[in-house]
Amino acid sequence: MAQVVTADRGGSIREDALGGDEEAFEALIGPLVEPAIRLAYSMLGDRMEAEDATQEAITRAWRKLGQLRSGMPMRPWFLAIVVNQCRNVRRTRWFRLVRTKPIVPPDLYREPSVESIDLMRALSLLPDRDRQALFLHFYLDLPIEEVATALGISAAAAKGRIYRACHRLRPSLLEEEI
Amino acid sequence: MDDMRPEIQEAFANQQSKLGNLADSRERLVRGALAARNMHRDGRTQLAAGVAAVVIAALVIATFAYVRTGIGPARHAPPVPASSPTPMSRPLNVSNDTPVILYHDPVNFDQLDGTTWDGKIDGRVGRGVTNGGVGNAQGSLYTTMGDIRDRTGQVVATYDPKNQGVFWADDGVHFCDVVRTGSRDESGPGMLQTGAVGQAETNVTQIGTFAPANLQGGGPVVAACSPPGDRAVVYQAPPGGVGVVQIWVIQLSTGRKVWTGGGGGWIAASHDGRYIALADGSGQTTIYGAGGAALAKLDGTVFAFSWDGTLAVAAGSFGAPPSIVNWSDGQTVWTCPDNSLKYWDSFAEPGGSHLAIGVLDPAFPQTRGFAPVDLFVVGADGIVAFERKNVTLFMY
Repeated sequence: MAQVVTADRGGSIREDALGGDEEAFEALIGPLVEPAIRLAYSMLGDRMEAEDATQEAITRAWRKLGQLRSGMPMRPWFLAIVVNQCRNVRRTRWFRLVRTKPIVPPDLYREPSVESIDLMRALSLLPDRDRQALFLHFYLDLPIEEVATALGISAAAAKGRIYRACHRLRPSLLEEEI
Repeated sequence: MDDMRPEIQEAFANQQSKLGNLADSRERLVRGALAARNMHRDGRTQLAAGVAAVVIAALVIATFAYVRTGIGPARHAPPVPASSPTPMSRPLNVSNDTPVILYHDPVNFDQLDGTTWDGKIDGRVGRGVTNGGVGNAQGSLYTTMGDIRDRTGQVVATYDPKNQGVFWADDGVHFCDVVRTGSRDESGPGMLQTGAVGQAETNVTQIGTFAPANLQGGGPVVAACSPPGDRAVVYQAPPGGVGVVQIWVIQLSTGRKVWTGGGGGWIAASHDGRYIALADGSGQTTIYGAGGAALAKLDGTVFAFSWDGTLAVAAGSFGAPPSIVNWSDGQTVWTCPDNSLKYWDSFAEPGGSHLAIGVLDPAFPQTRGFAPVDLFVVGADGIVAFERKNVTLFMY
């Protein structure tokens, strides 16, 4: 499991980075690179593309560093840049694999129960945005508020996506448990 | 919900385990990003090329590439300058079993030239190709207006183009065709035949239905012919000739129909007929396997397969920039670098790993009966082996 370290360790480092200090910028962004690659890989499925997207996101973060308000955590802000970059990459891909499984006639298809299918396959069947919310919250351990910032949505919407995704994985989940 | 956390974490961890070791990624990517930042700050234009060592920012260079240690190959190689304005006089000097790409000489359209699949050896092949024709996959034999010629331009056989066609088999020696069994003025079944230079045609099986010739009513068309694979693919074209009414996969040795399928839009088959891509007319294409099972579905239209069948050349349409896709997992191997270039034609290197893709370039508009293209020859790794602009490929 990826360990995400909050990189916002003090205004002075940020000020130095804003002033063009590359070492300060690297100190700010460095701990976020691995979780960024992992997030990008979860969205793009290819290490090379994930690293390309992450590197591009780092460049953009450097240019946009002045937009990061004082006191605002850097992690969700940077991961939002990564998410947007990955979405750009996917938009430029011409082809999306719709299905790899043998196409089963509708009258033979049954919704599999979670007991009979691998959870990873179930995750892969989730809508992308729901799966991204799960990844950020459960794998990168971001709190709901940071998930919301990273995905560019409200905290309530982030919570809803996570609940919906969990419900699809385990239909018996009650809303009160969220 | 939190009681699902361990399971979900484990599932994601399994996925992430394929990512491998990221120990060196932090420094590489940050350094690379800072270098890119400095390049933009200096206002320089960049040209992506090749692989290099880690670059420390503040170097002043004329060209720039994103660099990381251990990364894959470059996505796009610099283009080769357009052909010389003089006709090719040097004969093509390669062994007859070396595959070549055939194209019209840029100065003398009636002359046929050829280039090896690495773009390094070009030479003159023959003449008499003003009206186009079709070469076999190897470029060692070609048809033109009723003649079959070899690479020296010598006529080695003739055929009646009005009543017979030549669809070259993947072995480069045989060909397939579906001929009428009755009068051209009447509807009637077709007969799938195979033949070879110097041999009489052999009937394989009746297939499809020809409409009267004067009605342009469609008929059976060969999509793949493979004596080594003992397989042919034939489809029934509707009136007007565009689209697919029905598909048959036939065992050549017995004439048995291995499987038959329904209709669709554009059809493409691997050289051995093992894989068939059929567009459904709604913007998606289904890939069928040897026995007719649907193996995958992609957005867009597939126009060709690599020789080993694993990669597909595809685009949103004929008027869209193409890509090469691993159709089994949907991963894009190569994408046309310029959105102004439109798909025109593609074919696979016989016995090799490259795909040749011709795209229409607005800088070189069509002025005669055949469209010039920019030719990209791309490897299975996405590397462009060579590129050539303003080439008129040899085709009907």
